[in-house]
Amino acid sequence: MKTAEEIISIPPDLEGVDVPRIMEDIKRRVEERRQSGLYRELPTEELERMRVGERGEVTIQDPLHEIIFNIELARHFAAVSSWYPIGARRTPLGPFILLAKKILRRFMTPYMEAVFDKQREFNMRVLEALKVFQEIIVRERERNYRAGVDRYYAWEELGLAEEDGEFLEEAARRFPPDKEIVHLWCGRGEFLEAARREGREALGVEEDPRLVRICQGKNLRVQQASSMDYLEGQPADSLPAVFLRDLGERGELGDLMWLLGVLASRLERDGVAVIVNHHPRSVLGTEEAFVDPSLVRLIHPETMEGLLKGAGFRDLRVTSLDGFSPDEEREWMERLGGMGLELQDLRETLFAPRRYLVEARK
Amino acid sequence: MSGETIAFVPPRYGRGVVGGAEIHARMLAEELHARGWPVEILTTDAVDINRRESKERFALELEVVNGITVRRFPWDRTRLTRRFHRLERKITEGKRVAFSRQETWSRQLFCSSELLSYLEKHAQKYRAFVFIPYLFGTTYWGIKTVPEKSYLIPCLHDEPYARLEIFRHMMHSLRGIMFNTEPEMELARRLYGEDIPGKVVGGVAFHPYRGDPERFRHVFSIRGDFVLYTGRKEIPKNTPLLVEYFCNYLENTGRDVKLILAGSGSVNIPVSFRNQVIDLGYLEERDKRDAYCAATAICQPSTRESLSLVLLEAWLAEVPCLVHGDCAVTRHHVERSGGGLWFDDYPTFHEALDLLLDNPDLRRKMGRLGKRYLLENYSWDAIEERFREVLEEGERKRG
Repeated sequence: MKTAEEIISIPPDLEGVDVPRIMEDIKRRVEERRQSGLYRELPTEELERMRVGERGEVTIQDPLHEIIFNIELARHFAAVSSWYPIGARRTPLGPFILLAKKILRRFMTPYMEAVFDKQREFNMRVLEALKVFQEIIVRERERNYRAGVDRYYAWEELGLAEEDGEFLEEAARRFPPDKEIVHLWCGRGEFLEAARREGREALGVEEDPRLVRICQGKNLRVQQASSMDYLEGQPADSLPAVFLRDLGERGELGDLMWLLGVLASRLERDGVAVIVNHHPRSVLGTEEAFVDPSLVRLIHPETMEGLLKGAGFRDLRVTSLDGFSPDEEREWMERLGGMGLELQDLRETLFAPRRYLVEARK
Repeated sequence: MSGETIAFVPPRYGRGVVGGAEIHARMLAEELHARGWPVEILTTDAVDINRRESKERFALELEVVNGITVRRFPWDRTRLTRRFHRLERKITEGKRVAFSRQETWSRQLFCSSELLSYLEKHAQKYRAFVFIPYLFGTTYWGIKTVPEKSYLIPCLHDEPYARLEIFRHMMHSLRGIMFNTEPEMELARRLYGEDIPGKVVGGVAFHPYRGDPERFRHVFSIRGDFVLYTGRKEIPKNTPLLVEYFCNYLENTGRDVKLILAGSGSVNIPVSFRNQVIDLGYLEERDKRDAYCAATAICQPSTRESLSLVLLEAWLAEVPCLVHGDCAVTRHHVERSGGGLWFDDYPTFHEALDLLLDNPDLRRKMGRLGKRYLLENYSWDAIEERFREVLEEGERKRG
């Protein structure tokens, strides 16, 4: 059986952290800077008063945080009780008034408790309902996490990324040389690199921080944001060039319909969107594509054309890309040899180009 | 003839029960059970001992939790009278309270008469009773009922209750005491005398785990650096102090860093800071581990720790810890391991946090040092061996 040390590797170079010395430095630094007013220390109530006065009401940025905050707050007040503190002024009559109040409280308690029992029950039910609501949100997010298998997991952890041919350079050349290209869902930045090789200016948009870090490691320009939010946040008729790869092949179909509509509205007049997708006509290419488990469907070029037209694109051009090289064809033919696969039709089906490119203008 | 079963006697036990001593009891019992020891739990039906008015309680029938038999007895829900509160105030103020009144106080605090009757009737069925922690009536009265087979995991910290005469008597009537750390044993010897029985057993150990920090960030919408606090949110744990220090830190520095709180209890978060001080409530085990892995640093501001499970668990995720300098135990861990820093007041908190946030290399190194310390000092094999030694020593004394 493996020991814990064998399961988790602990690097040997861990010397050199002298905590008592660091603490001495911290204390010396505190003494030096104490007079500068850096360590202003106020009770939270006072900080709250200051902040609210300066900035007005603060809205919570995340709905889940809002729910959790309010549940915790409500829990604090949920256990209502009929008990309440009583007192009386320090006058000669004070003790009598106090006594009268105590008698009144004692007398009233059973009646008040009957009401508060119901109130407490109601409060607990409401809290439980809110808690269920919170759990539904958490569970939903949990399910969305990686949506089964996400791109990072498939490409980096499972090592199932496809090899890119030269089609990315070709796609980059389709854009006017003087326009900045925005690549939505830029992933690991392969297209951004191809654009750089072709001398094109390109900006990637990517939500997954791990993929963003990979792009940053390659010195690529990338913005961490949801691509849908980014697109929606652009003014109408403002984007000159947008690149999309594997469009609609991951995620929900409803999102694709929505996205094409927004894309059409945000592209400037004569702006161009280039889409590179897998071609379902290629049997072998399809097999290769579905090695990536984050892919859920292929979209036929004619379907894509129809959807783009429906979204308001007028000038559409579809090109096939990334065909099989003669060497690859020969290799496959040898593997399939002796099966009478000389027929031209079958050959075209097997070796149809793996991808298609749609150039869409507004 | 005496039985072989070891009975752990915590005040409460079960799924969803939080609290250092309760989790400690559960981890130790489950590990010993997995290693072939016959183990049973004798406890009360309480779910939350701080909420007497709550009707929530465990069912009284026999339950098997992760393979361990749990026998529950009704908690004596005595109404806390004004006399009790007066007594409590006198104790916390360090005033002298008569022995008999101390006993009354402990009985009212938390006890179960049916549990005591069971101990008396069935003591022969068990090899030993391991009570945890020292403070509750279940422990004091339980030990008084079966002193010849009683052992204690005290979870002791320096507080006025620890100075009560009843506990001095209790410590001397035991067969053995299983301390979590050396500072805890030193404190006990200082308070009750050098001749109390027992040794440092070491509490619990952890099995290495791998968390998914991105999952935690995705599910709970947390971006950027954050300091994590896990555990009960209450005044004795210094959670309000942490919130106050952190809000001041945010106000003074304007840094984009968050404080994430997780665990039971409640703490007042100023509304205007609620985007940066986020209370996630109780987290499931998986979420908690993912949170440790995602955290920039852990903060444990409590000054009343006898082991600090939080600190140890966090170090497995290689995260540095910021602890309160007034807590002998957590400071001892940090000093010995190099796995973090401590603070004595707001300015040292400010500077220590600045240092950790600005130095990712230092953080990484401290986190790894913490893990190395944990793996070297807290292994189940060593804990089981020391646990056995204390039991056998107690049995030899009994003859």
